[in-house]
Amino acid sequence: MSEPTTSPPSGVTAEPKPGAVPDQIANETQGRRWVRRGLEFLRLVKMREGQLFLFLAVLIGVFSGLLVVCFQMAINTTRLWLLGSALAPAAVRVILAPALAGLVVAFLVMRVFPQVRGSGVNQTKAAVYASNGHIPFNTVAGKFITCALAIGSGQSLGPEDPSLQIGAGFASWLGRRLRISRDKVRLIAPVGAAAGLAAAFNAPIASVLFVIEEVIGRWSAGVLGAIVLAALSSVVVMRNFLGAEPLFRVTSYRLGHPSELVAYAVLGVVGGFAAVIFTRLIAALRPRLMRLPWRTHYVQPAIAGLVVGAIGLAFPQVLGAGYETIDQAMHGQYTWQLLGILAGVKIIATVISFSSGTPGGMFAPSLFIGAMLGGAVGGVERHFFPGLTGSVGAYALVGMGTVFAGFLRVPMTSVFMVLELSGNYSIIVPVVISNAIAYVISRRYQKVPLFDMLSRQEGMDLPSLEAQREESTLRVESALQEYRAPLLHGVQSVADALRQLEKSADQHFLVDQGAQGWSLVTKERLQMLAQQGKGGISLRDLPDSTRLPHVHPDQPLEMALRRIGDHPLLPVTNRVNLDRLEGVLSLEDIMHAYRASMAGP
Amino acid sequence: MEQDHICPLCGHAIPPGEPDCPRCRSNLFLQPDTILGLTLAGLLVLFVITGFAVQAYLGKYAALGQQWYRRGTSDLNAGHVDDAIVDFRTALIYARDDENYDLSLAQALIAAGRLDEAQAYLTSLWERDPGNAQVNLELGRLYAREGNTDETLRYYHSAMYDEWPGRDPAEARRAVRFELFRFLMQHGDQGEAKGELIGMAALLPPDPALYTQVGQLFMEVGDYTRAAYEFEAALKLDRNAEAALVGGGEAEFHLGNYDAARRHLERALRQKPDEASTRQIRDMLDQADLVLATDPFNPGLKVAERNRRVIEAFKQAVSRLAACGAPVTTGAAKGGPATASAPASGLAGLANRAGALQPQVREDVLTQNPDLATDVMNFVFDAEQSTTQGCSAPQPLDRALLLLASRRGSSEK
Repeated sequence: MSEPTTSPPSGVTAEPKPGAVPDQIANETQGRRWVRRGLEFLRLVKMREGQLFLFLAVLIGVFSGLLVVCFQMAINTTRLWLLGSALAPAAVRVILAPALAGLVVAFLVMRVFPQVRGSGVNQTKAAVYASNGHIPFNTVAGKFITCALAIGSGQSLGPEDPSLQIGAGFASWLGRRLRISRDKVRLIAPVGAAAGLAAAFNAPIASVLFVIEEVIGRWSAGVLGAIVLAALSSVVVMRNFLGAEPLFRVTSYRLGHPSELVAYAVLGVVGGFAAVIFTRLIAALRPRLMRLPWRTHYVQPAIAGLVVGAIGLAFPQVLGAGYETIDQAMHGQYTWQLLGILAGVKIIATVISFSSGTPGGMFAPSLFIGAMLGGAVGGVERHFFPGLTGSVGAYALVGMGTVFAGFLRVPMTSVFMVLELSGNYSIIVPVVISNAIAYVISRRYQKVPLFDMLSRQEGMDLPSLEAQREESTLRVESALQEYRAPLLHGVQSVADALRQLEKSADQHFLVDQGAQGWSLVTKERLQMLAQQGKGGISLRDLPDSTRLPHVHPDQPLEMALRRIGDHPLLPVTNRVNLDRLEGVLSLEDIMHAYRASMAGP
Repeated sequence: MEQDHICPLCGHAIPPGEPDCPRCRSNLFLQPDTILGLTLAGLLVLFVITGFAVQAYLGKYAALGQQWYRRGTSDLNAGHVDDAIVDFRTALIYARDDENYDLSLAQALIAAGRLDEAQAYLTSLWERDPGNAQVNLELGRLYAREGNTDETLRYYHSAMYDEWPGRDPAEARRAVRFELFRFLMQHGDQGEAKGELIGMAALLPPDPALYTQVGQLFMEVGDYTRAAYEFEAALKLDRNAEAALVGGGEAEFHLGNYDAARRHLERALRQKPDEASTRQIRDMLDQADLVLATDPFNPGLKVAERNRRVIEAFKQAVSRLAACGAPVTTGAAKGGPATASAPASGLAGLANRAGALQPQVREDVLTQNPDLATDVMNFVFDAEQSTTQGCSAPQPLDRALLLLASRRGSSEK
């Protein structure tokens, strides 16, 4: 090719105006020409947007995996610099590092990256529901830098939520730059979120479930494939660099006797209430700190760092994400008394760190609290019932999922997360029981889920996905009315039909047209036809006879609303026998049902 | 909406009627294809950079892990177990997949008596690598401390049959068997212990020290025949091995082969052992000499010498009975030899038997009636054995007679 062709753009580009491109090419420099020729290669592979979306999912997954690997390294390297390599850092470092880092973080959050404050999950949700998938790219850089500094200095926060947002932010940026459609841009942020979370947790299934449970809120086949691809890609990349070992190593578990499940049920109760306390403390402290004069926001993370450092002097285990402490608890290192204390002080430290506006996530702290609480409950139970076969490690593992389920209100994710984090599938029954109990208790005593509460504190009204999940759908059967008017048949003549309707006061009548479905006639029209001498025509052959759509009793009422249109009546038929009329719906019936549901039980 | 006319990329207004921003459209570096190409290039660059960064990071972590591990090892060697535990835990933060660190931590926890924690670490290690001999051994030791014989046997046996990378497997397995043997002996399971020894003896390399060691262990379980065999095997490889000579002498002594015992012990003495050993060997040798000089049934003895030994033995038994408060009166019991060989009931019965025998225990009678020597010696053995408890300490001759009595019992069995 001597001249660059005016090749059409790939499926992702808008069609350029004819004539504009040749001028542009004619004027381009030699260097630009080479770049353009290089890009010809990419244009060889033409992709429809759906295919491109899947390709981008892999690309986002790989990128997110790399970014999360770098993020993890940044956190750990910061920790080494600021706190040293010892398990229990020196007192001066413990006091000064989180406080001084808090000052720097506060400055960055206030002046350079204002959007990094708050929950990454909510910001991703906001991108999906409110900003057409838009997450500013500087959020990615901001989260990376500020969270690495905060968590590395010992603030009691975790790296998962920032990882999620880093993935989502990158995905959003890439989607916008590639000018994919608005619908796809809106969905691409959750794809990146799943990738970021999967790499941070080394748990692809749990991450996919989390994004579906908490960000998207629905099982959409279109986006599910992309989310799975992204999560898997990022995990593969992360494992390639940092190893494939699960986050925690727990000895295998064997249930000695079914009655031992009662012990895990008790753990579910304790974990549920711990989750409620944790959430309520955040609900109480965070708005108060947010309402303080804005100048105080420059020092709030530093003060939080000072408090966390003071706690860290006595309990260095609470500093940072605390994964190594979880691992040690699972190996029975601590007494049940100390485990209980650690759970308590971690709640306090995390509430202070998070409420102060220090960026960071609460996944790891909730796992920490759960593990400590689980170990403590297990220790107490084993003290009084030495016959229990589950190790303290097993209780710690179940406890992690329990508090996670109760605190973040993601019951499915918590089950799979425990399985993936430990690589131990034998513990599923206790995990399910304990998580379910904690979830129910949390719902009972903390009406607003954590993420909804945080979004309201930040002045947003994002959809509550838990509420959506729990929302009862109104169905046709709830508005269904019995059809009392005479039922006509297509084989009947007009005169015959009029005779049948003689004593009826109704105006609209359904006509059973057999295999052709249902139609509607009015008495007035039949009388008119009779007057015109067309009394012998069968109802099937009536001119301008409108076929009616129908619905079934189990279908959503919303569908009836869409189908009824201008028809005065909508037949409701049996699914198995379409000729059997279950009842009818009018627009008034539908509206009445909606009004009744809004009025409540 | 107003925001629809603002380009999301450059922020400039899009003229009405234009599908997208002409400014961005004309900029090559804002073209989607360019972005995609640059993203792929950026991916490659980030991949390479991350690779180098991870290498440096993991290298740093590995170095820190080793540093803490060395510190833990020296703390452990210095007996600072608690410090060592913290050091090993710290090492594991930086190299959580290093099984050596896990193992060392478990060993330190065992040393600190924190068995539950150690068990959790070891079980976790075992689940990752069930064929790790060292882990199996540590688990075996752990269960041995808890006194759980079944689990101890299970893990020790696994340790024996697993691979021992970096060590001579035969030597390592032997060491494991020795440990297991000790555990079984401490728990009084001599049968299992002997089984382990037999297994080990079958696989011994030609090393006199090992044969001697196994021989000594066979002595511990009371299998003097196998012990003597092991000592002989050791002496075939090194005829002057002092420990094997002493062991062999002792084994033969216990087997009642006093001649053989004497030969071994005399050779052992010629190796100039230390003072304590010399004293021990001499005691045993004197005992063997005395037994040989006392035994009236020694083949090749002349009748007169045999009769003399029988008479001497009888006198010793009578004086022993007298010393124990059962003086013998001649003719105290009616009846002849038949009565004398009847089962004695207590010292009084023995005194009666002695009284009945005493008139016949003369050289001429013994010469005329050779079977009488057996009856007399049966009485002597019964008397010596009955007076071992509740009487004063036996004299050397009494001990010699007791040994002969015990040999008689063994041969009768």
